Amino acid sequence: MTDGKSHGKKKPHKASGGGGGAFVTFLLVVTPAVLFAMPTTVLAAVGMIPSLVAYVADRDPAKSASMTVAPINVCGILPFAMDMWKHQHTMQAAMHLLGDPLTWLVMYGAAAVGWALYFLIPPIVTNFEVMRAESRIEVLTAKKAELTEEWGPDVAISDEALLEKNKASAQAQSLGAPSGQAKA
Amino acid sequence: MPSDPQFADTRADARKDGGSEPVRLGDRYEVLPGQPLTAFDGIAGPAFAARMLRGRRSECFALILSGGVPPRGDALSTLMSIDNPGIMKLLDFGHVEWNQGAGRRQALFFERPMGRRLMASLTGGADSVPDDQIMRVVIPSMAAVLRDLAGRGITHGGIRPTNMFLRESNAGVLLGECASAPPGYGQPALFEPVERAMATPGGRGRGSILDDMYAFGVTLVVLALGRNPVHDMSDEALIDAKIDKGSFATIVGNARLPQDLVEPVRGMLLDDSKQRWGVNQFDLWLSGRRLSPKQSQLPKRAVRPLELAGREVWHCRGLARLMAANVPAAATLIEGGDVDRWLRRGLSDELLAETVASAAEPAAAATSRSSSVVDRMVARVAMALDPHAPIRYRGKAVLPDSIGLALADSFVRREATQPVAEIIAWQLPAYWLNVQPEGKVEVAPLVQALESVHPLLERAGPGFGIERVLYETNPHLQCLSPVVSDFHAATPPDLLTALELASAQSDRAREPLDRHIAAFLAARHRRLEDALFLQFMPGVDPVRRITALISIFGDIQVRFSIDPLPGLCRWLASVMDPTFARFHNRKNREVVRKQVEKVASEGKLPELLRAVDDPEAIRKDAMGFAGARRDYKRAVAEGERLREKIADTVSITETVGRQVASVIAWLLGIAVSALLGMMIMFGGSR
Repeated sequence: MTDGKSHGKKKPHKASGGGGGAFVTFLLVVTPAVLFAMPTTVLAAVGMIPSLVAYVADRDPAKSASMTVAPINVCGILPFAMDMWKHQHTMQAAMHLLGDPLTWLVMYGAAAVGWALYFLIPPIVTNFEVMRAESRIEVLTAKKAELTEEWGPDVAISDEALLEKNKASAQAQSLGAPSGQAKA
Repeated sequence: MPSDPQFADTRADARKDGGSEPVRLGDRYEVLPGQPLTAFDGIAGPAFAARMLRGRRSECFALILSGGVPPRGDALSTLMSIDNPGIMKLLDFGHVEWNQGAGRRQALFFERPMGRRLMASLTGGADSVPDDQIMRVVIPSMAAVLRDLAGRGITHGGIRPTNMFLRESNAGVLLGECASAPPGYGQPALFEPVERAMATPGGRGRGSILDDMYAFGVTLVVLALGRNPVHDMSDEALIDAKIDKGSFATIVGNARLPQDLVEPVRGMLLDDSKQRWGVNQFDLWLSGRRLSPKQSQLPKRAVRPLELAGREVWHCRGLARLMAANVPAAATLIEGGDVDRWLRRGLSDELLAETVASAAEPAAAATSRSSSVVDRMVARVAMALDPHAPIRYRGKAVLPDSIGLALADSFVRREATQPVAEIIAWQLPAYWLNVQPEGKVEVAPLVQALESVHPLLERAGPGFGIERVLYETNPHLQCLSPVVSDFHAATPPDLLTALELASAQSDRAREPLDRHIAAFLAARHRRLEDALFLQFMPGVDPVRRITALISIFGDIQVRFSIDPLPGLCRWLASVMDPTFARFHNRKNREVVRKQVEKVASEGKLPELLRAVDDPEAIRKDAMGFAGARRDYKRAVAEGERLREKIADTVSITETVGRQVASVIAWLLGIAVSALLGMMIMFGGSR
């Protein structure tokens, strides 16, 4: 790594090495699981397509669409997967389920519910937030009015403006004061 | 009695304002404003009948001073102590309520003369007083009076036939009063020596017994002739004639004076005060010793005249006098070297030429040629030419021991005070003293006193300036503020009482302070520090101004144990808005305002100060105000942030809305999954 010649190449190598490590770990953990639960994997792969589409289509870095659709989508797959786990966890059972339109309806219907949540909840939350903010603004306005009433308008002006005002006031007073002097 | 038309209105006003109810001076005297005695009117005010309330109950009258003439406060006590049958006895003096209690006046109580005046007027003719009456009645009485005055160091300044009365059954003459005005203030130029005659009435100085001797000499001439021998001459012409020919030659001239009187009159009319007869020479003459007075020494005459403003002058005194009256022409003459040449060649006086050259030096060195520089140069040159004459500057002619009085005169007559201020500022009195051929020890302390007040002139603002010099140089002068002009306040307690009375007037000033009041208090109440008066300078915080004012008044009230002054306190409270404004909290402000109103009605100034100047309350209020400002700022910032937030609903939708949606989805997913799991586990197969 201290070799100046190889310095430029080491970094990408290390980076790809890190990514490669994760990938290897993923393969070591997931591959036996996939192989062990192939029917469930197939069912999920087919059933989670709406979530996958949501993930791919969502431009939000937080992937909020897929984060909303996926949990409900999973709920649509889960009854069939559990059914397989309970009775026959085979590729045949999986294919049988996939051949049933009701399965598709439930899985994709659940995804649709997820999409519905994704589209309906944010406006409701927005309206709620706006109402809450407006209510707080009213409270703040009332507080400002109360402070102004108790401490006078000077409470609202900036430090510089207050300083200027005090100076001008002092000047006006001292100019106005010698009314007696003028007489004298 | 002499009467100056300028003061006739003032006397008439004072007479009118008096009302008709008797007013008292303590339990000693009573003035009867309903009974005017015009025959005894003085230059300083009208006369009224008066009653003594105790004692020997002799006939008396009161002179009510209108304030149009500077008072002669320094000599009143001494004059009261004079008990001479030849002079009108000053019985008492003090302040009485006037104008139905809406004002105060100084009242002088005199024993009322029973006989007539020796002469009613100086302009008309009258019977001459017989020689033997002059010798037996007038001279002995007056000799005793002059002796008494000389012994007490008092100058009468008003000796003239119109101010003399015959006593009952020709027992002598009674010299009229001199207590109501400064010496020589109302004296016609005829009765004054040249130096004093040249001065304006307020600038004649303290005078001396020699000036009274001169006036007595002229009086003898007028009485003996039964007329004023120079009544057809103007004052200016009379002074010129006295300078050119000498007083005796001018006044007596070719008139036939009784032989016995020639010698004393000649002695008393000598223009050189060192040669003039004093009381001792007069007494020697009275005792029969014959003296031979010198002839008046006339000013040294030049071999050729100097022409100035179309007139020819032959001597220095005449030149100085003409210069003072024609300043621009005189300046041209001085700067052109004509005066120098005339002094060296015409008068052959090299020394005087040098003195005049040094007098003009500061003007020659001056970078600017303002009118005051020219005026100063001419004034200095005039002093060098005629050292005994008054300081003549911008229309004022003032002897150095009368600068303060001249200033007071300018103020009370509402004339310009600037010339007198400049006389002090240019240090002309010190120069006058410098050019005296013989030292004037009696004037030196007065000039030094003027030097000491000179710095006060240079400081602006109430409590300093020309008004402060006025009160420093006139220790007995009342406060001339228009706010209390009707109340004749001569001391700080008087002033507070006057302000209390003035507070009830509907047209009172905005606040009970002006330059006169500040200067009067600074000069009369020595315990006050000048720093306190700096708070009245323009630009100083009004709160400090008001608290300083209450501090000063409060100090006087406590030190002199003055009764409560609710009117003055309320007046001060009416200008206290800036002090209330110091409390930002409206409730605190109202509390303090009510407290001030309560304390003001009790009339205690120190309490008033405590009410508005509580440091702890002010500190608490300031801290509360700072906290409130912080809260307000926070509220504004939060409001702004919320407004910005709700203005961008898309952002809320995309952030919070979607987060909430995904959280709900997750919760729902977990709940449904758990439910399904339990159903499958405990509910059997599909």
